[in-house]
Amino acid sequence: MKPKGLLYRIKKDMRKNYSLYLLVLPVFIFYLLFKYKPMYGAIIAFKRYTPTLGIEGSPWVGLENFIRFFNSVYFKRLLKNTLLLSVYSLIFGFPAPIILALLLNEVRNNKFKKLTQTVTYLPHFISLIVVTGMIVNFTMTTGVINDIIVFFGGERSPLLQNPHLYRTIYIISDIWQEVGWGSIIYLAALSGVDSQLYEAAMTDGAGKFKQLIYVTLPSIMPTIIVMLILKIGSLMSIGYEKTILLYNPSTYETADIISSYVYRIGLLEQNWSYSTAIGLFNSVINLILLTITNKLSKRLSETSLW
Amino acid sequence: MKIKRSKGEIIFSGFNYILLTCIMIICLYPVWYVVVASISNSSLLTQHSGILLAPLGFSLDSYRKVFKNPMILRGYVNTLFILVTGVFLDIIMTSIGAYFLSRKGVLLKKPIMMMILFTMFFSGGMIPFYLTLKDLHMTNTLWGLVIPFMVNTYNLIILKTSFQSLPESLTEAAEIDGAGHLRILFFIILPLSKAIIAVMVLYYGVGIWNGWFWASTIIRKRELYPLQVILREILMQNDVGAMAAGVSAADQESVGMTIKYATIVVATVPILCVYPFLQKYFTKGVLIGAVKA
Amino acid sequence: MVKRKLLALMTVATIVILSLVGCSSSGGSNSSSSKDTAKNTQGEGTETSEGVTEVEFSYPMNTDKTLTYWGTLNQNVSPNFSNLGETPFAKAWMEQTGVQIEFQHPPAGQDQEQFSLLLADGNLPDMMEYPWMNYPGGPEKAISDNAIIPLNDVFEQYCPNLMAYLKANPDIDKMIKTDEGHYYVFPFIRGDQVLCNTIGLMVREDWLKDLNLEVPTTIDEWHTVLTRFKEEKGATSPFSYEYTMGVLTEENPFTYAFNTSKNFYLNSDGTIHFGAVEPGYKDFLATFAQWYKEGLIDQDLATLALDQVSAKMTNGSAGASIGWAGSRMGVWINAAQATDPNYMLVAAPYPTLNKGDKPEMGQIENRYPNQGGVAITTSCDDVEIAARLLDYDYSEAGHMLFNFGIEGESYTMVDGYPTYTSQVLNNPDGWPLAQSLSAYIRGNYNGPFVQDKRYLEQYYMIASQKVSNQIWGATNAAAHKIPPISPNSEESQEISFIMNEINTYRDEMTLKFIFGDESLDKFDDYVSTIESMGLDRALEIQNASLARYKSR
Repeated sequence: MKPKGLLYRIKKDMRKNYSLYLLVLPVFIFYLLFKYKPMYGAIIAFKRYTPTLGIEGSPWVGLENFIRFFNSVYFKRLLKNTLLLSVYSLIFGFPAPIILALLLNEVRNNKFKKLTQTVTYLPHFISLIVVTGMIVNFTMTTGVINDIIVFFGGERSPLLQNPHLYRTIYIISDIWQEVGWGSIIYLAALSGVDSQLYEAAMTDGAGKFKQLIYVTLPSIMPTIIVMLILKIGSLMSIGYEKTILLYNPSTYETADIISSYVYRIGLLEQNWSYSTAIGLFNSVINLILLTITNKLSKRLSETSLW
Repeated sequence: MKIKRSKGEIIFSGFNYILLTCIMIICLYPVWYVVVASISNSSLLTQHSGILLAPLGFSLDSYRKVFKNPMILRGYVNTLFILVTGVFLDIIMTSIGAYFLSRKGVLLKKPIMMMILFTMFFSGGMIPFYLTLKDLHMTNTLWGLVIPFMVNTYNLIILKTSFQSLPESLTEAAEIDGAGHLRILFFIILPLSKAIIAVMVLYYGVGIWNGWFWASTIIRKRELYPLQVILREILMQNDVGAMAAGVSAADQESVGMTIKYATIVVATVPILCVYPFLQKYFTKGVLIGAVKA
Repeated sequence: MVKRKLLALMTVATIVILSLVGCSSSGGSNSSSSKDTAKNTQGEGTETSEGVTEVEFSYPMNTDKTLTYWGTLNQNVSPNFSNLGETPFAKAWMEQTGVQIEFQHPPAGQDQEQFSLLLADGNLPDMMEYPWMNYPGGPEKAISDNAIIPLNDVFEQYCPNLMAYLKANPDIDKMIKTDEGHYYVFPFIRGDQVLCNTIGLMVREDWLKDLNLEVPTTIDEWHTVLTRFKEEKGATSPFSYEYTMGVLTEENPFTYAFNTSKNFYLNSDGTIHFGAVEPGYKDFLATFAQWYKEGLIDQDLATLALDQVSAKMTNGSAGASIGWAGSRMGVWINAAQATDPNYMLVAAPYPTLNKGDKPEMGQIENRYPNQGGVAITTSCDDVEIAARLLDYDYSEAGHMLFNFGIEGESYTMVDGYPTYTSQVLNNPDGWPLAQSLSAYIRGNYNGPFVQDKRYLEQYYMIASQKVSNQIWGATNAAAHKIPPISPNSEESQEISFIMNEINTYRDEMTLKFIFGDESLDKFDDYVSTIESMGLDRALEIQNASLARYKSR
């Protein structure tokens, strides 16, 4: 009975919302063509892809590509590096724009506020190519950062050659580039907080700090949580672009991550199937992480993505 | 509002201003460095080490050289084309999608929403995506940099949330008047959403302006290179010699560092200039987008 | 409206997919049928598909076909031309051969990425210029993958000029074939042994004079020189070179001094060895680690790129480097002399351990150096036209065009010697020599032709450049150079996996040893790790390839 009922409902809905479905058709097709078709193409992860045979015609190899990756000497390190880099950037990178937004929110001088905003957004507009170029220059033994270290009584050292500093450099530069831009969304949420709430809090004698804890943060919590879930869902998908522009053999130990490995294997060594398999593995982990956090968040804070 | 400020608050406020000023300096300095370096005398610059505050000497030679490069102008034209068509199509498509998802009483909305969300966290990967582009004849053409990237799911969700926050009575009234969906979207909802659309324009615009990876992989006609690809070529000029590895592989005259900095400025300034025009919409815009999917 | 557009889009998509399927299968049959016809025509005489007999064939060809040609655009061309097709060189090439060419170029630095993706989609340009030996699995794999066509019949039938050259040079003929005897490329050939020594050490001659030092020839002398540069000349990083540039690190003369190499090399016992696990490599690491600690080597070594090295070499922070005579030595001398007229660099020989020894190892290229070779792909419909076009480059006229450009415009014959005109040597627009040459010739980089040493004689203008090839060439390197071997298709995947892992590990550990992050006591562990990654198997494959090469 039920499936028939569902089909009937769909038919009825189709008839009722006919024009709406028609309107959304281009978007729907866009997703099919440019998002789902490549997903189908990802079956080459289970094949030995040969261009002349095409995706369908290439021979199946089962899990060979995955097994090869799991057995690779670098598997553990890549997984660890990817996770650590994402977790650290989550821990340090995620709160940064929130803090900046809170600080900005306290500024009464509108001109100053606007100026700060404009200036902190600036780095976001600079392309990655330029940013990484600057990082390399600034971290050299003769670079600005070493000048500052020496000024404070430290010693010069090649910073980008030190595997222990690599993640720090990566994350700080990330924060530098995105903190202003990332704060926009929180500032917006902050400006949406009902001012009556503050007034009520003040009549109750709450100081600035208490207002922050009891009014401000709870009001923007939904935004924070949604952003957090989105972040965690893409934990594993740190792009290769910045990594391949920043790393060198002396920092492979901490710098080489799954996506940069996929890039090397797929585009520099033409192991298309192998590369796709690793990418697929990455996606699956992402999905698992996302589902877990979403579930947790639903239970704990009643905010969730779906 | 008259508020008494406690001593603690005043101290905090002062501290806050100082901290924000420091943040500003940190954000600004590298940019300043690039600008200053680009107008410096190149031989003085190479010999300089340490913090650079003002230009070393003054020379616009590097800019002259940059604009003499025939590729720069072409790159501008191509980028402009992608930018204009891209932003236009992106906004239309994203609005349509967001409008659909913001409607109530549509049975298949939820599964479609799931289908869209799923793509945010799961993708086929680089190689399958490329093969798809190729199948659809999207390689070696500028359209290939526009059409496959028309909808960004993240932006779609922000826009959807914003549409949802508009009072329903407006659309209901229009529907009673017999307005179709296109009419409601383009004549009622969009005019009310100028702020968020401005945000979208900037989001998409910056992405398009700074995008280089796909352009560098799918475009084989140099006449079609967007600006960033050319910028990268100039910045990367170090590595090219590796390919030639010949007796004489590279330049007789080294590419001065100032040229690189000048190219950076030339390739970055236009997008920076757009920003202030859109800024007034900004906080207002994302306000509504304070995402709750 | 929207609906109709979408319908159109989807129809297009379907057609594309269908035609793709069609294309790939027809591509396959195409190459075999062209082989067949080739054989047939051989039997019947020399009738070609155009109906012109070979005897009567002459350039320019009469065709309205436009062929596509993919390859990197040299960085000396790109500042002034957006496309190779716009250069006077390419225009002359097209005019003289009668073939229109559409040039396609990847962005600089993205060539390998674009090459991979092009191959992945299987729809290729007609001709592709690429170091084809780097094709994963080797050129034979490229043929069996149906990417490019074997050229044996094509050479025989349409390429009298190249065949004549190969007959006269059997050693080169051997180099450009696969083990199975297939030709796969219109090769770039160094026309003279002198052109094969391209990389070496260079040192500040004016500083040496000031300090009363000789040009260093041994490791100990180098230590002295670098130390005194540091102490008395204030060089903060006496020895500095572009570590990030693969070739230079691969060809590090200081590694060669210990009679080993970072990579595979041909040992005196006639087999291929992997240098990075040998005791000599440990000694090299120990030396470099000590120098690094003493501050004789640039402290930023691992991240050094051309920018920084150029700056240091010209502003006195560094006094010695590795590089090419043209693009490094010449450039730096010209740049630095603007502010310091005494500045001079001189080439230093490959160092040895004992004074007076002849260096055993050093950098040298095969005369077929695996660059600039052009293959005809399976997507090419007009194999004959492509072949004739490329064969032209090995004819007398083509040779002059590729090496010297256009007579009367870029060169004139002076007593039978092609001499560049002042148009080239002193470009009216102020272009540097390398750029003005690149507008007219390909002789100063590479391509499908035989490079002429007379180009080099005019390209090097400073005395110390002119002697550099001789100084760097005075080694026994040729005996240790592995000829252009390639693994067979079964082995190729395996060796590429093994070496990918080993090389990553070696590069990482090499730097750690040099920086002192890892003690050299760990060298044995390092060696056994590499061995556990499958080094023996890799050596086995390499030596088998070598044996096959020898029996070609």
